[in-house]
Amino acid sequence: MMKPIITLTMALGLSLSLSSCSVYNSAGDAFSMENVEPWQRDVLAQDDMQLDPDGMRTFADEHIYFSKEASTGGRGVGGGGCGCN
Amino acid sequence: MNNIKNKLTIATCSLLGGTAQQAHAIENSWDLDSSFLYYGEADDRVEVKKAMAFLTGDISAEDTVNVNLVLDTMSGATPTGAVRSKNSSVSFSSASGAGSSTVDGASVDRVHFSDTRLGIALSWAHSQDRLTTLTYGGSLSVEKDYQSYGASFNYSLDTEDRLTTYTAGFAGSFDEIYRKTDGTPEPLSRVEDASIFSNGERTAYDFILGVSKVLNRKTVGQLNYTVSYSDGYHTDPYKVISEVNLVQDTDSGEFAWAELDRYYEARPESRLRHAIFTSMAHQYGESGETVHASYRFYTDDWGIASNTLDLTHRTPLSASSYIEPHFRYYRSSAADFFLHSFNNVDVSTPIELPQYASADYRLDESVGITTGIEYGTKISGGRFRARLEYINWQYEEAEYDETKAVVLQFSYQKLFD
Repeated sequence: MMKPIITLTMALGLSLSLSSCSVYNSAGDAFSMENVEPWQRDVLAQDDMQLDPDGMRTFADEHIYFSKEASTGGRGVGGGGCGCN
Repeated sequence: MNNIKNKLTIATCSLLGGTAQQAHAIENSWDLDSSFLYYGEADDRVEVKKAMAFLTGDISAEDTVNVNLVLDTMSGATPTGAVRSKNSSVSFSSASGAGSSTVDGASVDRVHFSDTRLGIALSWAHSQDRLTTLTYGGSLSVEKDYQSYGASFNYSLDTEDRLTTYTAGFAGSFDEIYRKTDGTPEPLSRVEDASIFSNGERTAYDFILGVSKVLNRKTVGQLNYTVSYSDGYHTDPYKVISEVNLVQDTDSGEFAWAELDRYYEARPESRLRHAIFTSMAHQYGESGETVHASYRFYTDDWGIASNTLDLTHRTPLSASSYIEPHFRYYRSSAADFFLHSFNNVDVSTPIELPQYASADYRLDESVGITTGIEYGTKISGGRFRARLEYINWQYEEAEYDETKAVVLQFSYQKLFD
């Protein structure tokens, strides 16, 4: 039962990755390193450029996946557990 | 007034502890974010309604406080771990103690429950100097059969050019676990005549090391390592595992599990977890489309290893609104002690029980896929967001081999300048 899902997922993930890459002039654009002066940080200051642009959504998702999956962690530490079903 | 917030990440993620920080954020003094979330599983399983309110504000030029309130109401039915046997010879007054549980063969594998959870978290961020921020946090979570208390400390340091932020954090928590009827059942004892032990207790210690870095004018990235060690009661006091025997139906000729007996599950008394998490935000194009991507590798000493990929792509619809598809992929191996059931081939001899065993579907090998979409717009001095998501988890061996869920969330954040 899982194999078709895995195959579909890999195909979808690959498609997403490729489509994301295609919109860049080059895939390296996102990872190119450059010094950014304070007056050049207008884009970086936008809400949607925060590493976590919606703390409320992230909080809710973390709780859902913490409750339904065996893996947790990575984003931060602490908080509180729950006896989730 | 805004000095602190300009140095804090917008989020208090995870379950409200210290998080790796980012050196630029929103430009207001106070904000109140409120949200309602509905989570519903197919087949009349779990349903959760979650109301949340996050208040964040500056109380001085160097100090910011954050108050988070969460109220969950949960109900529905959840798999116990028992097989769906029509040939069960086991009888119970209650399979779980978590509410009603019928014993008519067709539904003993699921238990109905209803609970309410209140979560409160407070944090205080203090700017020690121009580049250093200390964040102290505390949290409390209470429900009818679980209590959790936590505290955290987070240290973040910006470089002189403010393009890099280093983070180190520590958190500790103490949890008390019990059934609604009090106590916890003796692990791997027969459900029919199990002894009830005292409430379970567990302590956990979490550490994080992280770095976030501005790579260029339109890209910021992050890399975290977290390690967590927990000690104490890790068993789920409601979960059970069946002893079964494969029988052939005399009429149809099909093979099916016949349940011979049922035992409470048992998990190890400690758990060591590691996670490496990396994420990035990148904006491109004249209209300012933003991609968020993250990847996490997780492993623990229960034998679980997982990979999680998360992608969002935000497209502006106007100067004040956007639409954002979301895709998440999760794949995990099974815990070493996960079993579908105890298969007793020779029913004339008692089975030999292992040290640990669980039939909890969440410990099985699994794949989870989330697809969703969010719409956001700025209205009346704040921002509104609505999202709809569909989650599908598939399990390799568990009795219930699939969970399907929808998530609907509405949020409104009011900004006070």
